[in-house]
Amino acid sequence: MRAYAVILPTFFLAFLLASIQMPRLLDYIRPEWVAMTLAFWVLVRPEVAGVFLGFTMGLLLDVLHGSVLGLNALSLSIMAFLVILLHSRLRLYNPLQQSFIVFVLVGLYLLVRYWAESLLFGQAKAALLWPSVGSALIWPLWYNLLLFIRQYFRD
Amino acid sequence: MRIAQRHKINFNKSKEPIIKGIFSSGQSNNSRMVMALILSIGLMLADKYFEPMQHVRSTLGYLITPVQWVAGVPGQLGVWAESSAVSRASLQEENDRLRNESLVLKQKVQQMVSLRAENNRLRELLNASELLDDKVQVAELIGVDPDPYTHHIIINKGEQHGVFVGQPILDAQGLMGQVIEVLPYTARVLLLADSNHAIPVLVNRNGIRAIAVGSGRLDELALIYVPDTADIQEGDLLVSSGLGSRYPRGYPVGTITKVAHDPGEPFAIVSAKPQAQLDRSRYVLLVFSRESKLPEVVTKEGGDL
Repeated sequence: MRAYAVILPTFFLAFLLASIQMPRLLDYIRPEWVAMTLAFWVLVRPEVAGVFLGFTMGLLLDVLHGSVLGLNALSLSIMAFLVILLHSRLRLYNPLQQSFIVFVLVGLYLLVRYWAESLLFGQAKAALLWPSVGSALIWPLWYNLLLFIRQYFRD
Repeated sequence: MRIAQRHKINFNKSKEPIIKGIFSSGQSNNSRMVMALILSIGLMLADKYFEPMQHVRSTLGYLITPVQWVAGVPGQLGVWAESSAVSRASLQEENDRLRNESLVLKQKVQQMVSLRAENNRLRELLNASELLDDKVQVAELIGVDPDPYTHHIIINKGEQHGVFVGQPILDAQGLMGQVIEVLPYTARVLLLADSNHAIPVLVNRNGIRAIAVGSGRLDELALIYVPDTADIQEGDLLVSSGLGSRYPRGYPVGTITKVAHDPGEPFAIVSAKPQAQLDRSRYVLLVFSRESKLPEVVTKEGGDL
């Protein structure tokens, strides 16, 4: 599929941003790049990107972060599903409204991950708020960058 | 108006899928979601309870390794720039210093040989097993886990180089941690200072045993269950005791920085500073020791020890 030739490199970029070293203080609000990229592609190409893309990328994120296999796969596929349900409405929103929805979506993604992790292991790190804030803040920029990439390569 | 313009292209392009979505893909989305749910929950349980899932992880690791390599590039560029832009004078200075250091170390090694032989003879007299040298391999740090609540590092040696889960990692000063996950070309190391980590130690001065757990801060370890009467002082060196058959015995772990007695607490409050430079070391040593690889053998030979 030609579309994946554009989608997968943007995910590579997202994985890179998710693992690159930054000052310790910035780590606390590090945006969830992979979740945002997934949200973008499901938003603009729901017929190509969907639950299974979320599942696959979640699996790779699990390997990257060394968490139990399937944890991010579960939470990212749920997020992809939610975006599919919302996508026709989300497109009409202005950037500010979109940012708010992204805040809620990323927050939900982190919450599902937190629930699953604490059910499995009895303990989990509950950093829910700040990564969602970071994602919402960077969303307009990331959205436009990905939109530019998408239109430049005309998938 | 502006928003409508912005999304004009999207409207046109998406008209078809939306209509299709009403009739067909809505249903299949639900079933896809159910499949993904079952798959991922199954995976999580399998990964938690079945050892062979490590192979699945390391296969997926082939895909993720390029990300780890590229993410490490900025750091390596920095090191390269630093090392290639040094003046001749400072290089010469460093060279002299290293030559002196090597001379001193060589002298110590000369003594070591005879001391080791003597030690082994004495141990033979005591019927204890002979001490062997540990094999080591140098690895380079290529990444630090971005999660601020854990202390993991990524090194550039993996399954292909013989790294295994549980392998101890050292730097020039002391123990750093252990390997917790092996991918084909990289491995993840849990540092001593992580709050999920504990290591059995003993005080070098008098052999008192204790357990050093990570505090979550890179410069502090805490000794737990130390009785108030134990003879532990500030400045004591802690070395790994080899109990637990994971870390080899005798490597420096930390120095005691604080000993406090609180009448309200059942145990003394003892903290130590890790000997290894957990936040600085770029090159680390992988130890291939027999103790850390074969816990079964140790339990079989339990009588001898």
